[in-house]
Amino acid sequence: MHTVSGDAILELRNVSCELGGRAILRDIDLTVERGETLVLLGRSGSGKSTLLKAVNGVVPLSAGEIRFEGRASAEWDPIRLRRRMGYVIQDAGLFPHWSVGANAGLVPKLEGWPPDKIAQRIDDLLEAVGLPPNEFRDRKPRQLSGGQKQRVGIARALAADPPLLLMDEPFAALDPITRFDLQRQFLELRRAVRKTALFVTHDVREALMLGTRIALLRDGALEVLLPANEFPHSANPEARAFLDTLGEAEAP
Amino acid sequence: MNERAYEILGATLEHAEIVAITIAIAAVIAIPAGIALVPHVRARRLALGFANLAQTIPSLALFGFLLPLPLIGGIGKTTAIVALCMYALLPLLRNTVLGIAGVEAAVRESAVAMGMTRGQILRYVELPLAVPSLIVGLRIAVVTTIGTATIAAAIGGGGLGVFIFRGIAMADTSTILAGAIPAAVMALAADEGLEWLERKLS
Repeated sequence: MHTVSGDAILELRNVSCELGGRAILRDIDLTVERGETLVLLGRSGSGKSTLLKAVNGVVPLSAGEIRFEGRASAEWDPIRLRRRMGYVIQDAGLFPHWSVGANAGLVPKLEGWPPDKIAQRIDDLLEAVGLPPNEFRDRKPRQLSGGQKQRVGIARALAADPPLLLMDEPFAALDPITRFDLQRQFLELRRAVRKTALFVTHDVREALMLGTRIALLRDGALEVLLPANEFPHSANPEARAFLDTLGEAEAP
Repeated sequence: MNERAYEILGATLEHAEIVAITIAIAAVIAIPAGIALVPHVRARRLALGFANLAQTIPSLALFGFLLPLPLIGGIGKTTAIVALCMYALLPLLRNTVLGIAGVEAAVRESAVAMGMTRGQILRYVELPLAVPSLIVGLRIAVVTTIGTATIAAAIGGGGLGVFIFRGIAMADTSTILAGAIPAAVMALAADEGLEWLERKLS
């Protein structure tokens, strides 16, 4: 594993985005280094999910450039680009007619891996996200709890070993205990596989727990970009507004 | 009497043939059209509106309208099948659109995000998830076509309707029943069969 610091995997230069004449992202400059978890924090409608979709090539830019692995996204075939990024969304979005195993093995299947290699990979992945393969492989998504579905969503995102993970509020819909459980598992997983992640959340507690750096968005613009341990000391009003939600007892 | 039984059997087979051809043609038109229409909201509304409108034309009148037309008109099976297709289109088109449009947004979003092509999404996600809805459309189309096809005899289409019209002309109930009973049995059997298929696939 090479996680050389200063080695950018993703660069956003003056990225702007307009949908229906409304500016969603305004002139964003941001670099994601290999191995880090950069958290995009912001209120609903701040543009953080749109930023993730722009990186994934789903939402077009109105200005600026995104470079992934040194190549401008315009030069990428969008299908190839997306297969090199694991994507986890809030509702998991598992295919209801496929088994847990088939869901986890989606990208290897699309990539044409041999079936025995896919089967092996599925078992390794389910193990890694805390779902014993023998028990869960053949279940259907409707037989899973919310937390289990999200674990499968994470396994699916990791399946083809993509160099970048995009996570769009993956734990937001879970109950607090399950959420904490998955957050800890995410940290453990990150230590084990050294993934780079761009992680969207509106929960400052989650941002501080999981992020190596935190980028605070407001009305589509980048307000604050700080290492997670310095973020609590930010004087920025929007940052303070988020930090205030932690409550008196925890406030720094 | 034996001759009568042969006649009924022949008419039943002819009836089934008319229905099968009608459903095959309507499905070949409506299912791809439904798939193509899903992303285009306005075109979709227009097509469903047209299919709805076709549904409201009384069937006997529609056969009459088609009679004078070149190629598709005239006395015989072709005209009957064209008219029956127009009725079968709506349930097939509507249920294709409903089935595909009914795929959960999160499922579609994740399929795109994981790098599936348009064709892969259709093949692995949208069509399999639309199957139950498609079969419901097929059931409605088949059952109504079996019933409506009896009227095709009025324009020389043949089938079980021949007995019904003959029975009405002769005021002979048993002749009417010779057409009506096999048609009803066929409709019930098709409905049961497709319902079984629906359960099996979902």
